[in-house]
Amino acid sequence: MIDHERLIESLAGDVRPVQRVAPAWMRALGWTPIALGLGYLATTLSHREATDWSGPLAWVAAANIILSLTLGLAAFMASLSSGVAGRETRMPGWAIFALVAWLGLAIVGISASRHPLGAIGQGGYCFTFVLIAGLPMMAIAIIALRRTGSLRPVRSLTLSGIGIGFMAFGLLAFCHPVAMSVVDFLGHLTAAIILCGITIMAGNRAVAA
Amino acid sequence: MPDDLPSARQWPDLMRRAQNGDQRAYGLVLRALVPAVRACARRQLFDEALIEDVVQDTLLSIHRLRHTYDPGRPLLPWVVAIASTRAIDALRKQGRSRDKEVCEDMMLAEMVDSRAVAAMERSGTGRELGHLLALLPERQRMVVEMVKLREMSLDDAANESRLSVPAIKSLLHRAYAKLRDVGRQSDD
Repeated sequence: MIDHERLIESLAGDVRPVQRVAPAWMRALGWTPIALGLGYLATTLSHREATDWSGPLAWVAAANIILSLTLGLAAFMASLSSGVAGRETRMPGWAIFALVAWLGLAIVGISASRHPLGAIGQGGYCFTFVLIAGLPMMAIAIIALRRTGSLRPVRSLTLSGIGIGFMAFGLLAFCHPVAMSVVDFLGHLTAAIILCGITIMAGNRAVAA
Repeated sequence: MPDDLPSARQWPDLMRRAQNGDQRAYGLVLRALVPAVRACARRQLFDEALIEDVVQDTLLSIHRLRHTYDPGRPLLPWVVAIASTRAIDALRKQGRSRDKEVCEDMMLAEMVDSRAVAAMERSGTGRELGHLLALLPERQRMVVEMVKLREMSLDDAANESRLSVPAIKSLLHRAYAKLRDVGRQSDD
């Protein structure tokens, strides 16, 4: 059996006061406005169309924004929590209901479309928008996770990626017609999945503890 | 000195003091944690040397991540999560190095230098041949060396050995018979 005394002495001799990390919800609430702000600024580079807030389905757009941002925040919070050793990484139970409601709104949007199925190639604007909005948010998420490091970086970054995707959907809902086609919706999801993949690849080494 | 180690109830407070820079508290809590970390690693690993490596890695990780511990929570789940991750890392690393490990001398030689394999084959054959020739009486060995290894003709071998060609043939015949017997015995 190795005697670890020398290592312990060296670590104890090296110990300095450290600043404890704040709870995950507090960190998430601190970082999310920064991420959303940068995401919004990035999207000003692309062409934006305003949502029709006077239309009969404006409530769908409003509910979509609220649900997307809430789900994004919940996933980001779970991601920051998963970075800390010994913490639960489960999404809260209400997030399942929020996700179901979000999918329900997507179905309402698709059914409101004159061409529900859409055509291949449709939704290129939304796809680019989600990617452009998500990239700066991804950088913020990696910076936030680096503060604690993560023992399970892939899990933490996947949750971050999901959070970023939903936040980008939230920003997209400000400048997207309520009615959308299936192809359009799949384009949104594909962009979010790509963002998730990029987040994992870009942050895996940076956040591994 | 396990009697001097603090009890588990004191660990969160010691860690809190360590986070504030208290070297003595930190030393105490790290010493107290070693058996718990070892027990945790032992649940996943069987190799004692690897277990001790995991204990060291875990101590280093605790040091690096000590700012993430919340003193309001029990310390053990935090430590166990770190130790389990380090044990899994060690298993993965061991798996990867086992995949790359070269057990056979020939494969090892080929990885270091592809020409080495041919040299080793030559040397192996040479060793085996030397061993077989040593079993032969001196005159038979000399004749085999001249005719088979140095590729001399029967006449040249006869001239060099000052023997007649039939004598060379007879010696070769007896040498082959002897080697055949040796080969049969080793096959059995």
